[in-house]
Amino acid sequence: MALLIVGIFVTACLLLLQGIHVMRRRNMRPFFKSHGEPSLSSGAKIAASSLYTIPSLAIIGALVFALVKNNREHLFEWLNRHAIGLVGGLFLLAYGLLSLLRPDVVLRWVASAYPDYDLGERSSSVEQFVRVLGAFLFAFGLFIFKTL
Amino acid sequence: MAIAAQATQTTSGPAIPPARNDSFFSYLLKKPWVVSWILPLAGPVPDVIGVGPAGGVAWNPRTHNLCVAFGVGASAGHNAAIGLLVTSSGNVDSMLSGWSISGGGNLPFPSPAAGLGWQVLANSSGVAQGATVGVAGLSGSVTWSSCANLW
Repeated sequence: MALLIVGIFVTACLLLLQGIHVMRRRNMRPFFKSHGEPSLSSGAKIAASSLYTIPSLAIIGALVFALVKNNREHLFEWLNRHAIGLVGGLFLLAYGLLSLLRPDVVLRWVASAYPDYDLGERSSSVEQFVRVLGAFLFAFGLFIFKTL
Repeated sequence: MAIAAQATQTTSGPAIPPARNDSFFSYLLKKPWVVSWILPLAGPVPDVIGVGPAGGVAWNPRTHNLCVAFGVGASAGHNAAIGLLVTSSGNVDSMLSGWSISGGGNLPFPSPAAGLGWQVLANSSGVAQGATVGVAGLSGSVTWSSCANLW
């Protein structure tokens, strides 16, 4: 159940991020890619952004509705019992997702720890390597939620 | 010296609160400590990003089990980390012995060389996890561990 809820919530957040990105940058490129030139008219921008934001807000609304409708005490009791696992799972999930989508950010962090090395941060093989490790951490995060 | 897997005491359950007469610090000190390392000898940036031998040392202060692990791993920057296993889904000594798969990541805060992060260790006995301090980056490894009961 925790895996399902987290999966749905992460999907909603990614959709929302993409919707905000389309609105701000006025192009259809994925939010985790480098920003391109604005290419959408105002109407197209709103329409494209709505494609992402409406479903994401609907999903978040459904989750909030379920929280209000169901026994909240049960939820808080569950959170109390699994707080550490939840924090750990979310950390790995977020770190894995960041490494998958924005390996350049993680490589900048690594470079700050190894200032005397040339990490070739623009090298595609280095980025692919970080992406594979990110996928591994992301899977580990999902696995933690499955065990909760 | 007995093999740790023979130990029957459950040492680390899900988020056990500290006892009333026990400080939080001593509660943490009773949790298993793990030091893990990876030497990425081959890969895009040898010594920093790549694959290579991996290992670790774990100490459980409750059962006095000392475990040493060796295996292979992949890392991007995250070549060394130290931390506590604050929660586990079963007998932590069983998880620390034998084959296991582990992964973790550290942020560059407060320092890139010693940032805060998280590690997870899993095998057929369950999943153990906890906070770490280590080099910024991420890593994963597969290791085999042997444990000894020191006293």
